[in-house]
Formats: sequence, structure tokens, C-alpha cells
Amino acid sequence: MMMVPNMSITASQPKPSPRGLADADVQFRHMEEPITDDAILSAKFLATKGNQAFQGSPGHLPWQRWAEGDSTSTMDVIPTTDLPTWLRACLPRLLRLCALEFNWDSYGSPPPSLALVKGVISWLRLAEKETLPEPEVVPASAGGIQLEWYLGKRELEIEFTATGQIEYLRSDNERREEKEDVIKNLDDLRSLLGWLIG
Amino acid sequence: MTARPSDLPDFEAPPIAEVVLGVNFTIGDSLKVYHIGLYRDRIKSEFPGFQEQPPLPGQPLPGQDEQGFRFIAGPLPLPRCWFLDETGTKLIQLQADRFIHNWRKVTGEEKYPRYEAIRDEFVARWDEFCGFLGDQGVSKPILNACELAYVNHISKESCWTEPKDLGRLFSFLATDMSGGAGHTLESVQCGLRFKLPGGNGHLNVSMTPAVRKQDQQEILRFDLSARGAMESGEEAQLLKWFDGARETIVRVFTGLTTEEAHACWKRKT
Repeated sequence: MMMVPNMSITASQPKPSPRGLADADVQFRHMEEPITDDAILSAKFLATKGNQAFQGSPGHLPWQRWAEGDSTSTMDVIPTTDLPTWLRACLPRLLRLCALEFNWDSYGSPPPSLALVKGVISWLRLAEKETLPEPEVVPASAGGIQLEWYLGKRELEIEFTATGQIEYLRSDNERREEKEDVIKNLDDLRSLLGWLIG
Repeated sequence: MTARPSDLPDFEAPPIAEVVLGVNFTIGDSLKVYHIGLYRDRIKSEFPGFQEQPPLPGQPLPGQDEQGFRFIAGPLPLPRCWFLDETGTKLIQLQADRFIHNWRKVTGEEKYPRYEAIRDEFVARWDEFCGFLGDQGVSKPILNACELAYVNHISKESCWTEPKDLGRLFSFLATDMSGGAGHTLESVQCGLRFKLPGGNGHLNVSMTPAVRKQDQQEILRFDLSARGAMESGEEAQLLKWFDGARETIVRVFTGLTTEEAHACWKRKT
């Protein structure tokens, strides 16, 4: 848990917007309570998806916030400083998904949004797994993104949907086991990635 | 208009990707959403593109704490509206308290029109906006602060290939930071802050490695962003501030970069 004094974040559940994407209410209030990694993560992920203003990140220095949040620049770039090598390496492929044509799958799917790419990056960065292999990066239906790892007898697919859900399917081909579920928090994600390389 | 100082460094091919001129203002009887619609009608022939963005938070003035969170009280904030020209290279950003003009590269092939041309366009657009408000019976905006930002994208393979090469481009990195131990520099992210001359605000400089969406190219984003308070809303003072901030930005940019980098960007003077 990350201790940030005098600060708290609350994030409401995503609400469907007319476009079918999730909007989010992200509220910040001053309190003398710590916040959890998950709260930060949720706020970050939701904020990048909605039309709400995200007015800073706890612990960011002013110039960082200036560069990332308050900037009047309109250029779309994704900072890579604190990304693990495998994530930095697959970032160009993630961004290329945004250039897909609408209806790329002939089922009316839009391309993944840049906001979703940023959300995926935020989650994976916070998972703090430095030694993963590069995943396959594929578009998912309805504007989602799927990452796929094949490591020995273990396979892991994680889908980030455009509505803000994160789902996974893991397969152990040695034990002939499969499991699929929803990733609810950062611990779930860390645990899954740890299982892959464990 | 202030003439370009004769000794100001000049580059034929600077790595500029975007230049931003903006003002922060207040209006007594605040801007309403229908004003934005009417303003769009006025400029639609030149700026047919339209996008809504989250509003930028209040601009901290010199001396104010820039850290921490802010809250918004009162009526719902207006969105930040983008009005784009046909090419997307020229863009006006308008929200309840900001008027911003951006010039930016979209394809990467655009020729940088130079500061003077972008400044003159900003001034013309600002005057036009103030005229529009007058026509609508809205009180004249009071200028609080202004901003000039240069966003540079230094592409990988242009004059660097590995982070360790950055010492050849940036004077403040041009030392062996491993203390002779031979460790390889893996990544650089930093921020510097300068005072503008005459107490006219601050210049924030930031350096961040990034990947550009447009072409998935690895770049080093090198931003120089000056902000300062306006004591009077006179246009002459506004221009003086922008010209002064531009001079500081160019000199600091030149000072922070090496002769090898200058050669890469074809320094003329």
C-alpha cells in the first residue's frame, strides 16, 4: 500500500455513455487517510477512459504533472521512462492498433482508443513485473485489446475491454487446466503474471 | 512587434513538433456554452474540425503551490473545445478561462512556420475572439497569465540511438555519470526550472522518453514551457511577454544542448 498523506481518491463505477464506452466520475478530496495502489490505479484507468478531467497524480512532481496532465500540448505521445523493457518493446504495436479501420473485424468493432492503450500501459506498469517476455498484442472485439503470452506449457490471455473490464484466460497445458475470470484489482494481475513466470 | 534579437540562436531544422501560445483570463459575466457554439460558427470556415476535451485545471500563477489537487466550485465547468483547421496543424483551444493557439506537426513533414508567424496568428485570433465577445455583449476578458511552450520531439535515429548518446546532445548530461564505473545510461527523465528575466514567471523544462502515436517512433520529448502572470491586460504587454519568453526559451534550449546537437539541427547563427 502506498501512503499518501492528506489525500484520498474515490472513483465511482463506470457508467455507460451513449457511445457505449464507459465514462467515469473521479473525485478527489483532501483527507488524512492513506490510499491504496488499487485506488490510484482505478482512478487512473477510469480517468483515462472518461471525459472527466484528471487533475494530477499523487506523488507526481509539478513538472511531471505539467508534462503529463496540465499540458496545453496536443501531441499524442506516451512516456516510457518507467516502463519495463518488455512493455516498452510492445508499445509501438499497441499504438498501431489505434490505426485500425472501423469494422476491422467485419463485426462493426471500432479500433482501440488511445485512452484504452494508456489504461493498459498504466495497469501493466503498476504490476511491476520486470522480467516478462513480450506478449502478442491483438485487437479484441468492440474496441478492446488482448495480450497473449505463451511461455512453455503456460498460456495467458488478458483482455482489456473498452468498457473498462479486464478478463483473463489461463491455460496450463501440462496439467490440462484452464481458468477464466475477471481481474478485479492489482493483486489479481500481479498474481496472474507471477503464475506465468513462476 | 519586437524584432528578433540579432544574436538570438537560429536553427534551420529545429526539432520542434508543436508551439503553444495561450492566455488565462477571467470574464465578469462568464462564458456560456452557447457562446462557444456561436464562436464556432464564426470561425468554422477556417477551423472546420471540432473536438471536446476535458478542461485544463486552473493555471497556477508564480508563487502559488503547483502541487496537490484542486477542486472546482460553482457551476459545471465548460469543456475544452478544440477548433482545428483542415490539416489539423493549426488548432484553437477554448475553455471558460483559457484561449490557446497551437501550431503542430501532424504528418511530420510540415515546415515550421517560425515563432513570429505563429505569434501573429495567435494575436489575430485573440483579437477576433475578444471582438466576438464584444459583439455578444460579454465583458472584455481580463488577462491573468500567459504561456508559451515549445514541444520538441527528438526522434531516435535522428541524432541519437541509445540513451547513452544523449550526453552528446545535452550539455548537462555530457559527463560520465557512472563515476567511471562504466554503467550504461538506460533512460533519462528530468525537469529543470528557470526564472524568467524581470520576474516575468518561470520556464519549466522537461525531458521524457516517449513513443509517438502518429508513427510509433521512439522520441525524446523535450518541452520548454514558460508561464507568467499578467499585471495588465494590454496587448503590448502581452506581446512583450511572449517575445521575452521566446527569447529565454531559445537561449535556454541552446544552452542546454551541445554543438553536436546544433549541427544536427542546422544552427545558422
